[in-house]
Parts: sequence; structure tokens; C-alpha cells
Amino acid sequence: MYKLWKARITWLFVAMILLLYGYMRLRVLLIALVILFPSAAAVTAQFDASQFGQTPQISITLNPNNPSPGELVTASLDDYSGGVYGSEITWFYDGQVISGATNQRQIQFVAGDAGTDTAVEATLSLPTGGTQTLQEIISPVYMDIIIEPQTRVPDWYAGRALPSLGSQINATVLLNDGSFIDPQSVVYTWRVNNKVIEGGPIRAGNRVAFPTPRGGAVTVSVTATTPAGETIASRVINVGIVLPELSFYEKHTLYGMKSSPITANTPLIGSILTLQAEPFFLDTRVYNNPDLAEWEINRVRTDNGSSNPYEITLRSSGGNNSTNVNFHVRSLQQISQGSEESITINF
Amino acid sequence: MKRTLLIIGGVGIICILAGVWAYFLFFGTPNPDGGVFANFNLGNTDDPSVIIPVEPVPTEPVVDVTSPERLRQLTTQPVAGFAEVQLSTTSAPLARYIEAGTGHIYSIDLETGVEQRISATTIPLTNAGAMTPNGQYALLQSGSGIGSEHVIGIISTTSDELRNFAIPGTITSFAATNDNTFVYTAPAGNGLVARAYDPSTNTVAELFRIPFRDATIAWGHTEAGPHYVYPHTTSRLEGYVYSYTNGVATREPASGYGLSAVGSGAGYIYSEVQDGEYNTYATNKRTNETNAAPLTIIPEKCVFTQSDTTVAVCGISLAEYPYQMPDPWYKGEARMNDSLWEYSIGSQSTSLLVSPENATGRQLDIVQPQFGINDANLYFQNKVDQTLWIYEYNPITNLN
Repeated sequence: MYKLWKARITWLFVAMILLLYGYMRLRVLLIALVILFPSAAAVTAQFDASQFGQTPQISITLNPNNPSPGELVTASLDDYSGGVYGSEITWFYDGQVISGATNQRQIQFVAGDAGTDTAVEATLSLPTGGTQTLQEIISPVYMDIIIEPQTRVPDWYAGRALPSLGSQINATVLLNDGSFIDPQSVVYTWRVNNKVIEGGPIRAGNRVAFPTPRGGAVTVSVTATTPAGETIASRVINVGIVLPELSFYEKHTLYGMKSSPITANTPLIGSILTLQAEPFFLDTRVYNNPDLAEWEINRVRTDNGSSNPYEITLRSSGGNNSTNVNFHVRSLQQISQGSEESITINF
Repeated sequence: MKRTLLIIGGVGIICILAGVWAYFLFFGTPNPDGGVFANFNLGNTDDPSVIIPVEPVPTEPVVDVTSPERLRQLTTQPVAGFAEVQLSTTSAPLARYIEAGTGHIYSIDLETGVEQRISATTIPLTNAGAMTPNGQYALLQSGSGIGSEHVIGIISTTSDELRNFAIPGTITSFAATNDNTFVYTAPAGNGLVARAYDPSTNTVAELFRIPFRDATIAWGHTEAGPHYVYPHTTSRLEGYVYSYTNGVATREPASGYGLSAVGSGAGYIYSEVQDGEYNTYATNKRTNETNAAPLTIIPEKCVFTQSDTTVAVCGISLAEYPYQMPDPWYKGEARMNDSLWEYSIGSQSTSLLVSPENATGRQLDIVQPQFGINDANLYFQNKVDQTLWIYEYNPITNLN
């Protein structure tokens, strides 16, 4: 032991002398350190290729990684070792040889039904003899992102509301692997325009609400993982943003609103007409409490004489006449939350 | 003196003029060949350039429910709901409808054409309704939105009074089933709960839950289903189809923009926007095959027959459908000129049943198609005026 330490000190001394005189290069210093401290060599020997993010030398990669049922999937052989060179490649899907795929490095297939596990295998018959089998399991899961914008559409309208700037969007993710997956067992990470919302991943957070940002569309992405971090499914969707649209409908005392909007060509019967302005896709908060809701008749601001700001009753003064009716609804805090439209009524 | 003469002369002239005016007023007939006096060139009835006001022709045709035509208009008034009912196993089917606005219920004898008001109880602003096939109960929606109210009506056989009571809470969708029950959805948490209400026992049973609110339900014929559920349709947002059978949810392999669907136990028809085109597909669950439909269909205009669940009857317009469909149709901006077609999702074949425009001269935008007992009659409404129509789909069955 004494001799060993003596040798180390000697080498250290020599190394310092060389360093001081400027003859020492970095490589030599490292060699010296390795010799002096053998434990350091052991540390370097522990570096493993996988610690640098390298996967096994040959593998199958799937695109998309977590396919939906019935989705077209591309499986590729990734070979970082050159081991595939000269090998005969045979592909199997669900245990059956895929005809016409022999020696292909890439194949395509349709993912199976939800709740099924299907193996995709590639068998390499090596030129040196022997075989190597690679496998990936496909477990397709439906990931449905349901967007429910909180904007105004009339009750009789069978379509869905659309988001307008500043309005709230409710979004719900439904995972289905043959039956609905309990959200309690899933961790969800939501991103809106590539920004994580809700402060990060949230368990059982399959439903979120967020304001509609500026722009023509908003990108919503969701990643669902198990509590252990394994990805179950991931999706990105684009949601178009619209401006509120105003239409006028005739409202009958008994029957309610007619199903078609009034246009300049709409024949009107009778001398009294109740008009309902319908601001499609206006933020429901603005609709319920508008800062501005004004009617104009022949360019003169008019009190609509009703507790419903979206309704006005017109009376013909007799004979054939046409009347210009204008309605304007708007939030004064969020200027884009509003709409103005005119219509000519021919009695 | 001179002034007096002038006044007398003036008065005399005025009297002469007044006399001439009076003569022409009471006795004078303008001579066609004579002077231009009183001839203002207004023309006469022989003048072809004169626009003679034409008496307006009634736009609503007279309803004749006993006409031999297979396609007939049953009402001229808007209808809120309808059903074909059979009061006993031996009695002839009757067409019944709920009048929009009043909630009055009428019964039409399909053999004699006699119409009778069986409920004179007014439920104002009635705009939707359903009736059980045994003809005993009705469910009516009064008003819309938050202020809407839903009422169960018990139809009396002895008077025209409707015993009724309101269902508490909000109902978003409802229908009557062949089991003589009502199925409906109500908000529950962040989603909806579907329930079945049996008016004969006054009991409610939960059927299934839908994990979102903006859901359209294409109700099945029975409580068990299948009921097809999808988010409200728009061409700008993606939709997905779920079916519920005996309370069990299945995610159907159909998704896309502008998606809506209608189905039976054998399969379903759905339409969606793909690559800028509104297209229709049919999935046959028995063969697990999905095919493009021969014609473009708005699924809400279809109903499957109960005798053959692979066959649907649809209102179809042979027109170009814009890629924004079906939004403009929902808004009332686009109107259809439908014909009735039979579509088999088994054989992927279609056949024309009747063109209302050719048969009646009227263009119909068909909605709410619904079969009567044994699929003998098909009932539907015209979306434009909400009137009720009947088409004898299977007259042979009707005779039996």
C-alpha cells in the first residue's frame, strides 16, 4: 500500500511539473488522473449507451405511436447498428405473415378494434445465421376531444355553438378501449396553443375550460398517460374561431320562431311583425347581459318596448312600404363580442 | 253702381260654372270619341297593358286525408308532435297530432278522414311533443330555452280535457317508445342522464349517462335501444358516434366534421365533411362493413323500418351540398326539395318512392320521419311550415 501511494505521489508530482512548464496537454493529464485514481476509470466504464437516450440497436417504431382503432399505422425498422444489413426481413401482423412485405423496412397496416392487443413483429434472418425477432404491441384507443363552446345558439337550432374570441370553451376528453376508460385512472396534460394549462398534468382532469384566444384557430392538444407515466393516447386538434353572426327571425305569438331567417324577399303577412334578432355564437355572458343592444328603424334609434332586448314588434303604417331595421349588440369590454346587421322589411 | 254690376256678373259666371260642373258630375258620360275632358287615359278592361289585380290563390292546398294518393298532406297547421296509435289490438290505427302553439290534440281516422279534437286543453307555446303508441299519453314541450316546460298529458276517452302535470327539471331531448314509455335526457353534472318514464306506473328508470352536454340523441324504438348519440353537429367541429344498447355504450367507428347519424340494430347511416365535401356512409354492423352511400343524405331525414332494420327511408335532395353542411340547413338558410327514397344498407341500393313535387306540386323539406304501426304508413313534417304529411309506405300491410 505504501508503495502504491508513493508511486501515485510521484506521478502527481511529475504531472504538476509538466503542467507548470506548459508541456502538459489535456489528454495526458487525463491519463495521469486515471492512473492515479483507478476508481475514476470505473466511473467512466459505467456510462451506458442507453443513458444517452439511445434505444436498442434495432427496433420497430410506430407512427402514430398510439393509434386509434382503424387508423393507418406505419411501422418502420430503425437500425442504428447496421445489423439489418444482409438480413431477410419477414413481417407478421397478429401472428400472420404480411404478404408482399418481405425485406421491406417499412410497412403499413390498419390498427385493430378498440380494446384489442395486436402484435407487430419483424423477424430478421441474419446472414451469419440465426434470427432476431422484434415486436411491438398495438393497443388502439379512441381519444375523442369534444369541444363545447359557451356561445349563444337558439334552442331550436340543432347545430353546435362555435367559439368566438374571448368566449369560454369547455373541452372533454373521452378515452375508449372498448368501453369508456375511467378518467380517475388517467393523468391528462392539456395544451392550448402549445401552452400547458391547468398548471400541468392533472389526474382525472378529462374536462377543462379555457377562454378562446386570439387568432383564426386555436390548437388544443391532450396527452393521456397512466399514473406511472405510460402514454395511453395523444391528440392534437384545431378549433376554428368565428365572429358572432346576426340573423333575424319572425316570431309568432303562438308558434314561436320560424325556422327560416327573414330576408328582403321574405313575404310577410299582416301589418304586425315581431322580429327576433339572433346573435349566433355571441358569448353567452354577453348575450345575457349586453352592454349595448340597440334597435334602429329607418336609421332612427328606437326603444324596442320589450323586456327582451333581442325582440321588437313592428306595425305597418298602411299600404306597401319598406322599413330598414338595424340591430346592434356588443360588449364594450370585449369589442369583438358583438354583431350588427340590417334588414329591409317589406310589408 | 259699377261695382254692383261687377259683383252680379261674377256671381252669374260662378253659377254657370257650377251648373256645368254639376251637369258633368251627375249626367255627363265621357264620349269615347269625344273630347279629352274626364279622360285620364287610365285605359279600360280591354287594354292589355292594364294590370288587373288577381285574387290571391290560397297557397295551402285543401287537405283531403282520404285521397287515393299515397302521399297526402294531413294538416295545414303547424304540428308539434305526432304518432300513429292503436287503441286496441283490433282497432284501426289512427293518426294523432299535437297542434303547435296550443297543444290541442287531434285524431284522424285514416279510413274515413274524420278529424276529431280529443284534447282541448290549451298548453300555450307548445313546440314539441310525443305520444305513446297506445294513444293514452302525450309529452309536450311548452316554450324554449330556460323557460321551457315539459308536461305529461293523460288523454281522456270520455272528454276533451287533458289531465296533465309538469315534469320538474330541464329536459333536453325526448321521444316515445314502442313500450309506451317516454325516454328523455336531462342535465346531470357535466353531462346528461337518459331516463325512461313509464306513465302507466309513474316510475322512472335510468337508462344510461352521456359524458357531455351538447348531445344529439337519435332515439331507438325501444327503451333498450340502440340509441345513437353524437355531439351537436357542425361542419367546423369534429363529432363522434356512440351507440347505447341496454345501457352499454359503444364507440362506433365514425367520426368527422359535420357528423350526424341515424341508426338501427343492424347499422347506421352517417354523413360528414371530408376533403371539403359533404358525404354519406353506411355501416352494416352485421358484416362490419362501411360503404359510401349512393346518394348524399342528411341523416336527420332518415328513419329505419322496423320490419327490416337494414332498410331506411330518407328524404333526399339530388342537389349539390355545400361543404358547410348541415349548418345552413339547421339555420334555415338552405332549403331542400326532397323526394322519398328507400335505402338498403345491406345491398347498398336505393330506390325512389315518391317525389312530392311531382305528386303534389309542392316542394317539401322533410324532417321528423316516423313509421306507424307495422311500417304501413310513414309520417313526416315539412320543415318550412311544420305541416304533417303521410305516405303509404306499405299499403298491403295497411290492409291486414
